[in-house]
Amino acid sequence: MASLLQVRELSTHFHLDNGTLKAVDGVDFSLECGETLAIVGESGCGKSVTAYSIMRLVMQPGRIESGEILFAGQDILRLSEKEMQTLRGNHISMIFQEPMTSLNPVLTVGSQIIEGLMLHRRLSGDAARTEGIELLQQVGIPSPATRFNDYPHQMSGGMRQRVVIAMALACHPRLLIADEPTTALDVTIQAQILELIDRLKSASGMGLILITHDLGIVAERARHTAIMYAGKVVEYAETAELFLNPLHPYTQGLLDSLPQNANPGQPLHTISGHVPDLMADLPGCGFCERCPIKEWPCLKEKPPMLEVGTGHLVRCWKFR
Amino acid sequence: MSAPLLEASALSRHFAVKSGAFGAKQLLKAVDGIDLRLNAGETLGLAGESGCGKSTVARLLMGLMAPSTGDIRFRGRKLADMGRSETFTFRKDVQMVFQDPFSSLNPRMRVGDIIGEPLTIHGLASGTQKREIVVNLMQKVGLAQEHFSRYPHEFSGGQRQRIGIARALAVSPKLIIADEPVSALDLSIQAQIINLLQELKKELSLSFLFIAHDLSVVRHMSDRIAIMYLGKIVEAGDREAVFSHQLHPYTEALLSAVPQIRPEQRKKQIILQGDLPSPLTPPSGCPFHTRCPYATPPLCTEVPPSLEESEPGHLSACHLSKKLYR
Repeated sequence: MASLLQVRELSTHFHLDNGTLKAVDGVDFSLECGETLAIVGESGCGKSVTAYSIMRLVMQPGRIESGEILFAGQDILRLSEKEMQTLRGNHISMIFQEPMTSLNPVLTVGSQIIEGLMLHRRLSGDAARTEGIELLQQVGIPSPATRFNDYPHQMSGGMRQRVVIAMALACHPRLLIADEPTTALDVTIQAQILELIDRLKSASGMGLILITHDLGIVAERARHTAIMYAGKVVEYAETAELFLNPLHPYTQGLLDSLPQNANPGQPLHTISGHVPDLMADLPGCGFCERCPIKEWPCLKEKPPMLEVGTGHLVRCWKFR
Repeated sequence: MSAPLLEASALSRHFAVKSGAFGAKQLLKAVDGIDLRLNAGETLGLAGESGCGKSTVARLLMGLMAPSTGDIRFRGRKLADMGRSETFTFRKDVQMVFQDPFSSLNPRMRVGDIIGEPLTIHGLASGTQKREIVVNLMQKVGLAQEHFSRYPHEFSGGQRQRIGIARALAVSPKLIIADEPVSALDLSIQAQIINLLQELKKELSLSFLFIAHDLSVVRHMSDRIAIMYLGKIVEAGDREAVFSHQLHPYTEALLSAVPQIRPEQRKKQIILQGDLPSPLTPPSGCPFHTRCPYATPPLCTEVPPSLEESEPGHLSACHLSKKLYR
């Protein structure tokens, strides 16, 4: 049986005045129904652009250059914009990071929720309203019938994110992409929202792509994890395996630099240097300038993805 | 015992808020009667969720805002009693590092001038001497000498935070108030800045008030920790005491909500119900009772608990702490 989502050799580049920025540069991964894949990385590593590519929402001057995105076996990069519209918001949904900017401030939250219901599921106004209130109830908003008529500014950040989740789930999508869904929220609210997403996921059996920079969230919520660096997936494994046995020097560096993994007051491990310029055409490994290993092939040739142990993939010459 | 470096007692700051054009004035108690003590050479961590009043505390302690009630004493002297020149010295001794490395640097000034400006204002150095001090400072925080005449926009977030730290250090302060200094930074950069702050603290025997919402960062940086909720301190004590056995249900829930990497560190998550109540209409009794899993009326809903020493050096504001945590 085909996977729910298969991304093969995806490249999305931004054509700027002073060159081409390779935001996503040959990314592969797959996701099964009912599972969670976490995509982790620092700002600028291409994790959000990957998500926007799957939604086909990459804006000019960005362009999906090559690759395949198979959703239930069908390459969505070959669909017309019209066919894509029936998929987007219907079968594939997305939750954005900032719950304030992803809601329209001059429309009530209710009217924003029923928009998708009326468009994709052709519900009448009344039926959509009933279902919209039910959705608000499902995501844990108290007195949903009154809140239905609220404007976004009348709600707290956590409430707004619940509304965004209700909107994303309105058409029972098979794939949900959550791009930093809790970064703008406090930890106690974050725990509520993550628990809610997990509960709704197991109730509906949808697949979830969770994009985050918080390794703690990943460890607790995701079945598989892909670590991204400079537009590439550098390590991919089952989450438990990845944290127990991180192979890529970048993954190891990230885990070591966490205050949670150090004794209080002791110096933290740091990764020296900074992310390479994605405009420059690097001949070798994107991480080699910051890498403690860097040997001969690292500077000259790009490392391939190598399988080390079952299902544990790493892009590093060390494992050749 | 020597006098603490900085001490606040019964500190409050209230704001009058009007709801709508004709609405009645309401009182927002951003900070509501807190006591703080910071000894020389110590780092006090102040943690809590957004809206709990931790940034208002920072502004009060900096003297950027007058308290509604209560006193702040710096080296035993009341802030309110200080004259002009004494206040000026106080402003030199207490410096601040801000959260946002983008908006806290003047985009039209060169890095060297940004770092040197406090020296000019306090009349400490000028000309080549000033330049020398600035270059030294830049070296200390890990910036290169060539960066002297560049503008802030040419730097990454981590480097800008280094500029902000150098500026704070320029006038050799005694105390640095750091309000979320690493929360805008990426993970690997965050570790670099944390290390830098720790090194500087040791080298220059600085004291820190470290404000953050990320509890693992607060734990790493602080000697003592105070947890705030709705303008009040609900728990305070030594770092290990607060992290290993909490004496307040809010701290317990807050710590359990932090996603953990290592399975053995995971606690049973206590998912709090609902949102932070509006500070305009704070709950009666214990401010936390609306979300507390253990709240028992009428005690918790009617009588506000006071912050009491439940164990030596470990304070908690909870009616039930003796019953819940023994």
